[in-house]
Amino acid sequence: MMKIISIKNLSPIKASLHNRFIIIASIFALITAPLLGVFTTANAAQITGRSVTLSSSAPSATGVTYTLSTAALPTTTAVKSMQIQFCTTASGSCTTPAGFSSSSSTLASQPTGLGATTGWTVNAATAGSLRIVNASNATTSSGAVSVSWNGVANPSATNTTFYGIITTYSDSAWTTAIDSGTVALSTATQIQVALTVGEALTFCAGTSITGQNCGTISGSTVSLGNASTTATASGTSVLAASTNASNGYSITVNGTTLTSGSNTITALAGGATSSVGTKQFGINLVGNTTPAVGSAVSGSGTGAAATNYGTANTFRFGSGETVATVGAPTNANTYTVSYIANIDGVTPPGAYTSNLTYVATANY
Amino acid sequence: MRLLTKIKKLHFQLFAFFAICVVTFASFSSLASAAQVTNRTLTIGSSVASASTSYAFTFTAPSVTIIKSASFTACTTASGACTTPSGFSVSSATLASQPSGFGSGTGWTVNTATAGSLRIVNSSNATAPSGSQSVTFNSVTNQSAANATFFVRITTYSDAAWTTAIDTGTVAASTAGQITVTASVDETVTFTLGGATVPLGTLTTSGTGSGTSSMTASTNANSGYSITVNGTTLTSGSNTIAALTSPTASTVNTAQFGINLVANTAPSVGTGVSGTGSGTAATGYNTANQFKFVSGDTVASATTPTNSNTFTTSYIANINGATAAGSYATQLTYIATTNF
Repeated sequence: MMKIISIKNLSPIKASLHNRFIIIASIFALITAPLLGVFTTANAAQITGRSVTLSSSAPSATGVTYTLSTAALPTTTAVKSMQIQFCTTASGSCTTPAGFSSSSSTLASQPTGLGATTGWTVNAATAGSLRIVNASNATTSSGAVSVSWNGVANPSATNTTFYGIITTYSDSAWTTAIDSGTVALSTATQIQVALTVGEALTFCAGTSITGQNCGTISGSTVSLGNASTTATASGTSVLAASTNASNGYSITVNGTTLTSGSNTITALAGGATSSVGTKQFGINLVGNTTPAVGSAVSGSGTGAAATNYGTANTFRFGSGETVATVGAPTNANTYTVSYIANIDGVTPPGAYTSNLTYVATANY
Repeated sequence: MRLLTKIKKLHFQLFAFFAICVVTFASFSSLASAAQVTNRTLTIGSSVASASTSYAFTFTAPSVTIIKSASFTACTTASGACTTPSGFSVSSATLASQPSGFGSGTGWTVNTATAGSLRIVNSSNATAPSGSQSVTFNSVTNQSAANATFFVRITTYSDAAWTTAIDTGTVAASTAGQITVTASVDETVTFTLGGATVPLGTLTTSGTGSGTSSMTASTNANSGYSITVNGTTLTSGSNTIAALTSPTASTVNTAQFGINLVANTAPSVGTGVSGTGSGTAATGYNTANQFKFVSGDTVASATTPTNSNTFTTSYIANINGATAAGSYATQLTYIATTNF
C-alpha cells in the first residue's frame, strides 16, 4: 500500500533529511577530524630531558628568567617557532595562572639546538606563552636545546604548581606542531632570614693564645729572668683584637716601667735599639733579631703595630701610647708584644715589676 | 531615644579608638625618631677586670633637640634585653668634669640610682647640642670577667627623667688580662785583675824599679765596694825591702817598696783611674809620686753602686847599698768587698 504524501507534508521530510544530514555530517566530522588532527598532532613526539628553570620562585616576581632545557628534539623537522604555554593544569583547556605575564619577556640570548643560531626573536603578543620565532630557519634541530627568556612575571599565587606546555612548530605562526612536552613548575614562599649584627669588639691580653681565639687566652706574667750587664733580658705577651666598628680600634699600653721600690729601669721614651750595659725597658709588636724575640702580627685582620712600636729591633715604652691600630672593621689579629730590659752596673738589685694594662677602644 | 543612645555609644567608641591611636603613635614616635649617634667611642682608663676606672664617652648626636639627660647602660649584649655585666658598678661613679657638647656647659650631675647605668641630667639645659659630645665618668667598676666584651648603650633624652629618647647608639668594649712583667736584678760585683806578674827589673842604688798592674771593678751594691791590698813587701829569703808605711816620695838609694793608683812623674809610672764608674783611689794611694804599702789597706773604693772603673796600680822599689843581693818577690792579693 502506497502512502501518498501530500505536498503539505514535505516539511517533515525536509526536517528528517536535514537531521540526517546533520547526523551524517557529524559522524563524518567525528571520523575525519581526528584523522586530520593526526596529521598535525599525531606526529608530535614527546620532548625528553625537558626542564624549565626559574631564576626566582617568588610569587609575582618580575624580571624572572625562565630557562628551557631539553634533550635533542625527537623530530628533525626544521623548527620555525616554539612556545611554552603556561597553564594552571597539565592538560585540558588552558587557563593562564593569575599574575603570570610574558608581556615584557626578552630573549636572554640566541637559543641553541634549534637549527639556526641567529635570527630568533621573541613574540610577547600572547600573555600566557613564552614564544620565539625564526621564519627563515631552514636548519634542522640537533643536540640539546636551550632557550632563556628574561623579564617574565611569575604567577601571583605562592606555593602553587603551574605547568608549561612546550611545543615546537614547523611554521612561523605556532600552528603546525612538531614535538611537545609538559613541565610542572611552582612558585614558593620567599624565606626572609633576618639577622641583627650588633656592635662588636673582641679583645684579650695574656701570654699564650691559639691563633686569634680569645677563648684560648691564658697567662698574665712575663718573666724576663735575671737581668745582666752583658745580655738583654726579653720576653713576650700576646694581644688579640677584632671589631666591626666602622673606624676600627686602637690599643694603648698603660703602666709604669720596671720598678723595684724606688728603683726603676729607664723606659725608652723615644725609642731605641737594645744596648747591653745600659738601663733600658721597652716593647714593640714585631719580630726582632737583636735580641731574637717576638713575631710579626698574625691573623686575617688588617690591624697593624703603631708606628712607634712597629720597627724591628727598636723598642719604646710610653704609658698611654697607642701600640696597635686599625682604621676600618677588621677580623682578628694577634699581636706579640716583645719586652726587653737591660741594666747597667749600678742598677740596684731587686725584683723589678711592671703591671701593664692594654686598653682597646673601638671607634664606631 | 534608642537612636540617641546608639549615637552616643558610637561616639564613645570612636573617641576611644582615636585615643588609643594617639597613645600608640606617641609611643612609637619616641622610639622611631631615635637616630643613631655617630663617631661613638668608649675609652676605659683600665681594662683590668673589677678595676675602678674612668669611662670616657665621645659621640656625635645627629639631632639638635635639647638634651636634658643621657644614659650609658652597660649590658652583656648589644641589643635586646639588657643584663648588666657581672661586677659592673656605677654606684661610686662621679663626673670627671662637666660634659662638653651637650649644650649647657654647667649644671650636669651624675645619677647613680640605676645599677648598671651611668646617667647624667641637667633639667635646666636649654641649649641644643653641638659638635661632638664628650663625657667622662670616674670611679666606675669594671665587670669582673677578664678578656670579656661588654656593651654600653648610649641614649640621649629630651626630658630630665631618661624617658623620651632622642638619639641612641651602642659601643662595645672589653676587659683584658693585665700583664705583669718581671725582671730580677741580682747583686753584682765585677772585679778583674790584669796580668799576673809585674817585673820591676834589676834594682840599683841609682834608679827606681817600677811596674804596673791593673784591675777593674763595678758593683750594684748600695754602698759600693772597697778594694784592699794584702801581702808582704818584696822579700828574698829572709831579706826584705822596707815597705813605705806612709805616703812617701820615691827616693833612690833608699830601701823602699810602695804602690799607688794614680799617674806619677817621679818615676814616670801609672795612669789615672778610667771608666764611667765612680770608684776612686783610696787616701794614701791617691797622690801622685807618693807611694805606700801596708797590707790590708784599702787602695780603692766606691760608696755607691758604680759602673766599671779600671785602676792602674804602680809599684816602685828602691834599694840602698846594703840591700842584700837576691831575687825579691811578693805575692799580693787584692780583695774587692761590696757593701749592699
